[in-house]
Amino acid sequence: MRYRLRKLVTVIRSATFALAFAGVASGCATLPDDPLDRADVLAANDRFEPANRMVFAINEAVDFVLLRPTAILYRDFMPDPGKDLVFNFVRHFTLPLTIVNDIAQGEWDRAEIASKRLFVNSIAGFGGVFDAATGLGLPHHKEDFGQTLATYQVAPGPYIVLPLIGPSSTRHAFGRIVDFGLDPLTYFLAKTPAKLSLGLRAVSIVDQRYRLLGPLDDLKQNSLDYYAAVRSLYRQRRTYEIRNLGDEATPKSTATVFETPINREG
Amino acid sequence: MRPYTRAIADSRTPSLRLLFAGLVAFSLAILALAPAKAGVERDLIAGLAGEAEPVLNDKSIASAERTKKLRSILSSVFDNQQMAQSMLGRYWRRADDGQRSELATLMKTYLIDVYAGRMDSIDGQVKFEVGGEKVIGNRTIVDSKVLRPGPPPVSVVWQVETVNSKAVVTDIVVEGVSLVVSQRADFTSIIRSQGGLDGLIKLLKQKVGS
Repeated sequence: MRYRLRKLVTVIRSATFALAFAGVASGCATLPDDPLDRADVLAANDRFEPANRMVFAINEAVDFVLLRPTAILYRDFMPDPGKDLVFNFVRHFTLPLTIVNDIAQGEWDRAEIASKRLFVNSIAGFGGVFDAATGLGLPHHKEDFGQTLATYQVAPGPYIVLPLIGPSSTRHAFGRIVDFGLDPLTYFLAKTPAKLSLGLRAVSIVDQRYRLLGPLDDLKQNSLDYYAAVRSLYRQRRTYEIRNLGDEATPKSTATVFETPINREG
Repeated sequence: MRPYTRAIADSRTPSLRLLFAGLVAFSLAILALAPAKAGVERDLIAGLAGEAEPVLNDKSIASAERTKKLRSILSSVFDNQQMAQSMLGRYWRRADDGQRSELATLMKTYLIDVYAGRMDSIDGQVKFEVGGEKVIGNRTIVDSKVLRPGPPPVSVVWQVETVNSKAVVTDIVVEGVSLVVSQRADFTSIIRSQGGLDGLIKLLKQKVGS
């Protein structure tokens, strides 16, 4: 047991070293001498760009043959009221994780809103398929551990495109792993058949992709470099979410969007 | 209290009293003028919304005709050169006069095409709700919402500035996504990877032509 643990520690240590070395090496290799170009490279914060572009292309292919067609079928064959029920249901199951992260961020008011919402919609919303809470002044919001780290001033780190999952910052990617352990739903679903949790995840992915059909098709058509456009879009949306500007749980003036530069975060 | 402050507060000396009254009148005049000046920016957005709304909701107009009308409405609220300049940032300074004039025209056509198309693709009855405004430095931020029956309202924030003594839109932020920031990222990537400003001009020409 102890031997295994020691071995694990060694593996982690060498992996960290390799990653750090790769980061430093590629960072040095790609930073140009020209100050103008250098500023652009730093602003893009994308030192793994060649690898990222490759993963992005693979993700695009998977999306083209699998996700997008499924989302289109869902759009065309699922009646609108059905889509609303699915949307409510999927959102409902993100609330436990949101509550945990609200508490970790010290956002007591938001944790209270999310908890009340979970309670109200579990009962009056028949397990979350109807949204009774928004009408009662309990709007939806979503938090994850990446956002929690951001509130503790942890830097986003370089941009990375994750296989199948897509655009992410290093902080966001790390947050996703922690979220899996932090999410009460993980433990709840552990006792149920695996089909249930996979089913819930699949439904959530289809619903999300359906909601992105318009925006992503638009972006693809109206951008010159789709990869760079997605990177920028991801960062801006993420910053917006971290600042809680996109939800009604904490009303803020939208003018705050302009008060600080939004292109340097992620 | 320091002596000169007391002198103003007491206003025993006629010249100081006059000065004090003058100061009060001056600041009141500024206060009265400020909202009137800022109103121009909000009016620009309200005017834009008022013009676009009937065009979008009139289903009897053919699609091509509608896009044409939207284009003409949009083209009055941007300044060619200012937009190109803010989207290209430092590269604008590097560009020569020929490149500048070409880029300014191309970008305006490109942006108006994109935005006319975007507005045209909104389904159902559309209603624009123009909210309050806020002045930050020399920029005025005007809040607005796009309302449709069904989906939640979409937040659209407009940045208005005075360019060549005319109020023009200098950025549009839809649900946290800024037009200028997004385009800058896109254009910069092309400039860096596909042959500088000339590469960008070539690609834009293809895009506008198609």
